[in-house]
Amino acid sequence: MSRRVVITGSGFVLPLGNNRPDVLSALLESHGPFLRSEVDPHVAVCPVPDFDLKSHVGRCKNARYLTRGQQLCLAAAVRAVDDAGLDGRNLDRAGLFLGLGPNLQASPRDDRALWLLDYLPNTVTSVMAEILGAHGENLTILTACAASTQALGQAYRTVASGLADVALAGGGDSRLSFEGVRAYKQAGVLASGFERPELACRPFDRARCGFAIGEGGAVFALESLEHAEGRGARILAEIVSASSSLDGFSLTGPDPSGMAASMAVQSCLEYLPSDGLCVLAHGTGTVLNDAMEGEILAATVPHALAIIAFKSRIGHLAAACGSAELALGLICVAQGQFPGIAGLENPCREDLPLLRERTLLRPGSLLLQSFGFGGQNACLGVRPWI
Amino acid sequence: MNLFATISSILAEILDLDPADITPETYVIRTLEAESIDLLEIGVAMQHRLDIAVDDDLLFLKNVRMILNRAQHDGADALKALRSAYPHLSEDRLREILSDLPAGPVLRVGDLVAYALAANRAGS
Repeated sequence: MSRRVVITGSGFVLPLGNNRPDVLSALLESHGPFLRSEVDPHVAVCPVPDFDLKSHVGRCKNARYLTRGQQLCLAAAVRAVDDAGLDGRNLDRAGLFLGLGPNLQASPRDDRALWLLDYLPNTVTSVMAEILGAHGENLTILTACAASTQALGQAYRTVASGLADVALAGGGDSRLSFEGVRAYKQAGVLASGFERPELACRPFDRARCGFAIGEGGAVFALESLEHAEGRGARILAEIVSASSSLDGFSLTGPDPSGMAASMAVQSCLEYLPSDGLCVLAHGTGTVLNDAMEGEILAATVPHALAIIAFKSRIGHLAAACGSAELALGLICVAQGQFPGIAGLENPCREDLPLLRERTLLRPGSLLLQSFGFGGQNACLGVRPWI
Repeated sequence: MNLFATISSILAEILDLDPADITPETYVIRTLEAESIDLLEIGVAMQHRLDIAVDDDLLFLKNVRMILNRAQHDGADALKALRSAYPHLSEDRLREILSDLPAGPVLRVGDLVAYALAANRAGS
């Protein structure tokens, strides 16, 4: 049994805003709202300004067990449900698929009884299920920077196979804490030596030297086409393919041959029309990722309409990067225009349609790519609903 | 140390409330909707912040109904049984608990303060 699966709601809390007009207006700027990190001025970050969970979900005493990234995810999920116009009748058997990161600030504590919950990644899934009343199939996925894309893929498969009519899927993450900044810095993946923080992360540029840290949450409401049409829901897009793979090569850097990553890309491409393809690239701005990803793109989609790298505008949202970039991609699709890759002055390849400036585009399909630590790869094939 | 202020701040933090909404008369379970998981956290936080030993059963008056049932079964005086179990509560408060019990969980913020006060005295 394979059913068509559509996206009927998009909820996001991102550095560029938490509603479509704000995000769209921010995407028209030449650069994203990057700053120097308060805990390390040599690191560029892109925070969500003035985030207050209560303003999104009301009183939430269990927020005490949630990381900032998990709280961003929770806020995004509530917004997705509102955006889709779903209520308790549609949600009681709904699936819940979340891509999340580790809690780098957790520690055993004398002043808290249940600090164990700080460590358990499904704590936010449980809090979300209680708030939204979603009790169906679920997974809490921790596959580094591929996590939220993989969560979307698993939700897609669950709805397509008939295990759920409705599923919420996406992720949230924040690594702006002292521990997060330190972890990435010691791993040697952050942009450094920049004059202005907005120029730190430069995906696919010859002078790229690493990424800037972002934060945020983005969650989508997925439904079977039949269910969405049955309730007269507005449809944003259709998910047509999902894939994942493992490099089995290095715990941090990508396999330079891109063998497994390419397998995930090609698997998704099989179900996407080649005309009018727009790639939402992983595009971290690290030397190794962009070299590997560039090779894969040149081999698989040299004639794509455009390649976008949203991390140049919101930073790297770690586990949440894929869902956040899909949220931005769908906003751009709806407006018919995409921003250029910020900071891209000297492309590392001439054989790729890297988007250099704001362009009017009506893509027929989107390919979302996420490649994470541990050689985790995940892709999603999406068709705008026209 | 202002015990009420400290305990209010603990409750506000754990239950995600405005401390201004908490008075000594406020019901912890009935009004503030504290659940068992919250009581666990409140007990540990009071122990840590106030540097007192905490017995959750006594602090949260968990056994009031059991004590009263046993007293009834043994033909003992209800007020006397409560007085013996909860020496940190005043006679007036114990009488109030007896009359208030049918309306639901009786624990009030003032009971937590009384417990902490007695524990402080015992400690010093």
